[in-house]
Amino acid sequence: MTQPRTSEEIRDWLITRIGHYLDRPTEPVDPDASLAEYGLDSVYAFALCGAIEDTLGLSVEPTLVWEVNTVTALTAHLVGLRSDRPAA
Amino acid sequence: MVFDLKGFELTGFRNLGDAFTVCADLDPEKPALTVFRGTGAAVPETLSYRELARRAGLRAAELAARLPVGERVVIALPTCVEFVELYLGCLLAGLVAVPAPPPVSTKTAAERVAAIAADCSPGLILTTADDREILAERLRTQGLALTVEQVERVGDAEQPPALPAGRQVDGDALAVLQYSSGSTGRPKGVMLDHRNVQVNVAGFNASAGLGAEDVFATWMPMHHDFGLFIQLSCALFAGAHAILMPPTVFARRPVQWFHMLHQFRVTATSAPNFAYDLSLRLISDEQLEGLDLSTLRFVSNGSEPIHAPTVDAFVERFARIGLRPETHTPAYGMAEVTVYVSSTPTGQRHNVLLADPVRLADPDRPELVVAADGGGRPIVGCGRVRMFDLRIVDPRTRQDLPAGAIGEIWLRGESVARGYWNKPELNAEIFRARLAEDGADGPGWLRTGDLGALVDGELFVIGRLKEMMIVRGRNLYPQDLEQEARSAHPSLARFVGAAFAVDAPDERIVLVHEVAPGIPAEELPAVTEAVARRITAAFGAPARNIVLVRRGQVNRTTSGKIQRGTMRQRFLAGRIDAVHAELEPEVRRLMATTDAR
Repeated sequence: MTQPRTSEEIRDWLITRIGHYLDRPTEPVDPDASLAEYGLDSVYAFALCGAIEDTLGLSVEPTLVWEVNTVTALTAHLVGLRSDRPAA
Repeated sequence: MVFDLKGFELTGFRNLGDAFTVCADLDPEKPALTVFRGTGAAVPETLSYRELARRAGLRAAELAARLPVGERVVIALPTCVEFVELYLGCLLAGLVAVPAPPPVSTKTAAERVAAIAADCSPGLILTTADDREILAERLRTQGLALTVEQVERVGDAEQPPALPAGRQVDGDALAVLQYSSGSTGRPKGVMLDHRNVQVNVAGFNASAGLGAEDVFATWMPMHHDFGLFIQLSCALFAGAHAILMPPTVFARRPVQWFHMLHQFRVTATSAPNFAYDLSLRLISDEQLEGLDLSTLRFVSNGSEPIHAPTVDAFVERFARIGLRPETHTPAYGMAEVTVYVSSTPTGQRHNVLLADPVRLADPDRPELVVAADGGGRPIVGCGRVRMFDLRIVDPRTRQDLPAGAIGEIWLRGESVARGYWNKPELNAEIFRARLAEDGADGPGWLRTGDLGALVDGELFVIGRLKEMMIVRGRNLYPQDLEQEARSAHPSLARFVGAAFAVDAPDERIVLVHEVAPGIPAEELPAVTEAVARRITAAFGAPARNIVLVRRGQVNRTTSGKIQRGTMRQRFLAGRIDAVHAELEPEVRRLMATTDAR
């Protein structure tokens, strides 16, 4: 899998990933809707953190998912983390 | 080698500390413990039996210098070598180990550790540097003057001094207070003495055919009976190698469980049913590349209801990486007997019985019989019970029931605990129950609260007695209703629900069920209608109270057990945020009055 790099790629990757956890392969997750209201539960919040680490190389805690609460805000947070990181 | 572990008899020792010391002496260079934090983490830390015994001895000496025999020590740590050192240190020094979750592991963990501490007034609470202040603050605000310390590492070269006289306890001394998961408000600590644990662990290993040559691995937490006894203790008190992985590593990447099994050529692992389900869903085919699970010979499934389709799908899908279907071993157990009651014979496919739903629901004489038409509810067998006297008892009359009849499972045996810490009335009721024919001075039995039946000598567990509903004279089990609901409409298929009864004033069925996101609001009434129709058709009992909620709104324990009691309380208190609800007027009024109180 090519690594998502731009803000749009990260957002689209999150939408696909979260869509898989929520088991809604056809209708995409609305990036501005509340993830808690979608009902993303704690087991999947952990799994999402694992996927973010594996795919984007960024370390995040499951609580972040509830703090940001939308795909758009999560994308912005991840893009911010990435630019803070010293170039490899 | 002069000695070997083949003739090792765990039950022949005075206490668990002695048994461990002998295990360590018999093969000191053998690996005892490895903590694996995932393939991406640092090289896993492994301690030999000699090194683990040295560290445990130092812990024992330190604790013995501060605390009298019989004092409780709360060990609130994540999965780490220090937990194991302290657990063994307590057993060596005649202290009572009280495993507890790390205080900041979840939102409610600190509250739970405080409740445990308030219940058993420990002489010492040990936790991590990060958690110490949070826990100390919580204890102070509750007015509890208890000592909380962070765990330091043991010295590198130091050898343990001999323990003072009198630290050697007998088999009837308490070894572990095991707090079962469940409500945080009133924790119940199961009092296990050394003998209980020795008998249960030895019995489990003998039944499963496991011993010193096996490699045990788990990600279950150490404050859970599965992690502490079925894995850690069964390995260390048999001279085997125990591999531990923190539960969060599994939750982030379920495939790490498989990496652990592969890397250490593991032969025995255990997990509750939800973990098999999660692995099916989150482990991709690409992730299986290069993994080999063919060394496994014992994969137990227990501590929550076993779902036959999950087991089938798991063994079928992972056969391609060498998992043998006959390794899957359904097991039954509970903290009140240490952990283990029964399991199916190792190396044989388990039995699944398709139960006739009408006979299951019979109000007077519920029975487990195979459905004549080949349909019916699949119930997974849990093997023969060999370590205990077992009775299937009518909970109303306390009479012993014949084979096939469904009743409460009662047990008696050497590994049944003496009771819950500081709960004398409850103990008389739960741990010293009497059969009608026993009279007043017959031996006491443990009431498990589980419903089951014996078919051809094998135990089948049907559900929880407390959760059974009696509606219009029929006995209904919540998991049956929940399973039926899931198949009533595609929007419920992959979600969970909680069924329970409320008194309005006769028992009414309520089902709170998660619904797939994105279903248009105008379609929701059709979903509730489909569920109501389906349940009524399947069980002949009306289900008119159906509450649809968002995913994640049905409470579950960390191991995935549906918390029906909690859902019922939330429902009655009006604290459920529904996306759609159909309720009978009587039930709606009930909620209003409960709320007002």
